[in-house]
Amino acid sequence: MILLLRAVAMVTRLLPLLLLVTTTHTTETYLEHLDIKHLPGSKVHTEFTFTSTSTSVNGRDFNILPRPLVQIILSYEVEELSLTLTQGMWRDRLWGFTENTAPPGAQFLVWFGGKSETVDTRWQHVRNSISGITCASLGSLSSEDTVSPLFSLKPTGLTTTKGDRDYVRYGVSPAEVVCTENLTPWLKLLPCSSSSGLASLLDSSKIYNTAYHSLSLTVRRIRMGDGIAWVIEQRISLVFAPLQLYGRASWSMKGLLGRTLVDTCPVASSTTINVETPGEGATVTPNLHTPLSGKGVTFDAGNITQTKILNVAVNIPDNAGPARVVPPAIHVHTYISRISSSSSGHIVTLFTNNRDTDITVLYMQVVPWWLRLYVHTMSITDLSSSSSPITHEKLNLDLARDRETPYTLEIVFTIPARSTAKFSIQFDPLLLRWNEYPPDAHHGRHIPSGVVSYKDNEQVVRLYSDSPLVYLPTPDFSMPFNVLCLVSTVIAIVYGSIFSLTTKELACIKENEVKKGLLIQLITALRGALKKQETGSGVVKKEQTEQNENSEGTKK
Amino acid sequence: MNWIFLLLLSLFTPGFNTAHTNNWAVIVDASRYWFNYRHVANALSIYYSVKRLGIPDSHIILMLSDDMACNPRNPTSAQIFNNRDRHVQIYPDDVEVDYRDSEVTVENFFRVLTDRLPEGTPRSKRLMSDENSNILVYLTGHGGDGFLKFQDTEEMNAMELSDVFQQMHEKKRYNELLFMIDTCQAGSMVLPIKSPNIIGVGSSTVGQDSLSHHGDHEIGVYVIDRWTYYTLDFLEKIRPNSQAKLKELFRVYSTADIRSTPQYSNLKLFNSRSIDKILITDFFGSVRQTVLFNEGTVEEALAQRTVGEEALFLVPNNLELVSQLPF
Repeated sequence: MILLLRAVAMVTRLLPLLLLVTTTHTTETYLEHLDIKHLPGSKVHTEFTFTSTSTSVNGRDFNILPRPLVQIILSYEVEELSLTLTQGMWRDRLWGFTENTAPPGAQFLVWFGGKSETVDTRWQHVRNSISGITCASLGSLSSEDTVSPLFSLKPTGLTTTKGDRDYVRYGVSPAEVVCTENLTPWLKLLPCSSSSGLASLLDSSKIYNTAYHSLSLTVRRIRMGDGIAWVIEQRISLVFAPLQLYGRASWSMKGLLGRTLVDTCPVASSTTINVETPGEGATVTPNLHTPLSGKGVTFDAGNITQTKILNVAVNIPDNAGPARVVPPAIHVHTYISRISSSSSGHIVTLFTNNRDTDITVLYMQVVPWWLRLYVHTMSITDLSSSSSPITHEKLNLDLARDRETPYTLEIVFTIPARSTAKFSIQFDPLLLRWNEYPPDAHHGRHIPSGVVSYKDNEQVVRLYSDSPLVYLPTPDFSMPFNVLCLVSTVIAIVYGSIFSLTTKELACIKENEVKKGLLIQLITALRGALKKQETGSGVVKKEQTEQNENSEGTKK
Repeated sequence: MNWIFLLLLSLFTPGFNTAHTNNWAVIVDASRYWFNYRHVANALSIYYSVKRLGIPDSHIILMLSDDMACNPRNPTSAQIFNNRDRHVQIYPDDVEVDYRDSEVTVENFFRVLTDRLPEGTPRSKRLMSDENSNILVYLTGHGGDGFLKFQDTEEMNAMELSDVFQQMHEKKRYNELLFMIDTCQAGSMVLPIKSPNIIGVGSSTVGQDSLSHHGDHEIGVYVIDRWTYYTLDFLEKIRPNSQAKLKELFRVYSTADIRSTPQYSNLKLFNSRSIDKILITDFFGSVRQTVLFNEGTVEEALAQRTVGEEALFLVPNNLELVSQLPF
């Protein structure tokens, strides 16, 4: 009975696949892949990649590509788009080299086609639309955070722009928070959403408890056969620490992600899981894997989940050595050095070349306008040979305009083998207007990460440096309130006094015409009584005569 | 024939004698920082209830001034609770926050209400209500006599808010509006409202503080405020087809429980109906009157739909790969 049900389920699952593969000359494919690697420190790096490819020409007959995204690309003539949302830094010194890293926060890069005059308005619309479908606050990236690099960040796919900087916009928001509300709409862009396939493994309470997590979305065009195909790649990269989660280096999918793979997406042409074996003595279960040339094992999840629930687990014995990683060719570290939050300081970036050959790098650093740079203090020195200067081969410097654009520095230089180069530039922090500070001004503001590009065996590698936090010199935010109080008080006292003096007159009146209050009458009576005792009868007579006069008056 | 059917239906269906055709909710948490966790929990609890009772995400604008779930201080990663016993996790997988962090400002809040947003603002950030919309506006944060504090840096004035509501009335952006506010001296925000068809409820009168309910020892802060706690207590018993009235909700607010006296706006201005006839689901839910038509078939209706000219994926003939590095 169960077998019959399974057979029926399999057939119904395959039906849409048969219908989708070819429709009116359009070929669409969807691949799901999970890469699992072991990192030193008993950490586990899981990288989910979801790739959708479509050769749809008329923009109407596509089934796999997400419609909201396709409509944005069509309406605004986007040629290439790359969005990353990351929390944490990829620690390449500890974890080695990995291909796809991203800077902390939100990074948004768009290459436009069409006319260069309309790029600015289209950039605003694309930012707002993408922020709407990913719940990221990209709409608030203004011209203050947007740059058009000259040498860096060229399109990786096919383009009509020839890499001209008029068509590119790059904005970074280093303080952007990444949480469940970013994951949910990102998953909705997938054909099977989070209901089946590898995306069903993603549980927000587990994936946000990681040392590093990064969501990325890239859209570009590639050549496929005779024609052009759109490729949408969604990637989520996570670094788990099973030792901290449950005290053991051995892990399982159920332990790390909280879920197991029940079934795969019917639209996916392949769903594979690659596990890199951590070393001798470690075992990978279940034993349904096939070896992968020298690197580890692979699971064909599509096949396995038709009859079983897949829960990949790796058992690492206690005496296993640390995991081996590929050390990075270049390691980059950016920091700020200065005395106090209002003094001038230096932005310093250290480049360490771990190889035996010289490497030429392209370094791009965006510096916000509120750190005024002294361009003449820019220097690159070789720390390994007593700070001898390194001359740059190419340089592009876009100066900032206050409240309009940031600084863009792009430098090409060569780092000698096995050396550390130091780039430094001096800056002065500016005091902003009191309403330009972010709500928690005392937290400080981040500088965007530097982007370092270099060639490693004919392959272009992109690295990101740290995003340092800069303390801003802040004013006393209670000053406006204090000033208002003080000025109001002074005006009240001064004006009030002058007003009284100029509008009131002093006039003389007889004493007994003045109507006196009860208290004053009591006091005068008391005083009279006291004087009576002192002076004797004379006063009594006086009073009596006064009373007689008064009584005579009233009688009349 | 159909109009007779409709007339009979409107006469005999209980509770469906309102003029509203859609529901919207604008839920705002105005405070930042970890120790104001309870304000985020307040806002998310109302969001959760409103979603449960039927209002879709596309009709909810949720503004949270700070991120608590993925905050490094949160021991329960990516989860927010509004109760010590943690029965319900109010930051589930389908949460959509429309305005986050520094986007939550007084200016943006007023722009959302009056629909004066910059060109290109996505739909998820717009309040696209019309004269047949019932809107629930819920605010929470720290407040005082005549103001509500946003992000610890700016204030929203009670007079400004009542002016914005008046603008909404003049632009016909609502049919009925329920304004709920949980702050100290919330009554001062509610009293100046003079626009018709708005019911305002504040958690405390002028001069009184609104208090928090209880805290979670592991999270380390208070997790819910009293007035919102009792509101949620009542809402938990409501189902999408409930016939409970707004008066029953107001009866739940006893001074002994919430330790402050709720302040209501001038209920005489609500001239369409009295609170013992308004359903809770008129504001918190999205129950719709369904009218069945017997004419035509689905296929015929689809055939009549005209397909517009859709944009094409233009394939330019000068596509090429470019060199990545200038060396």
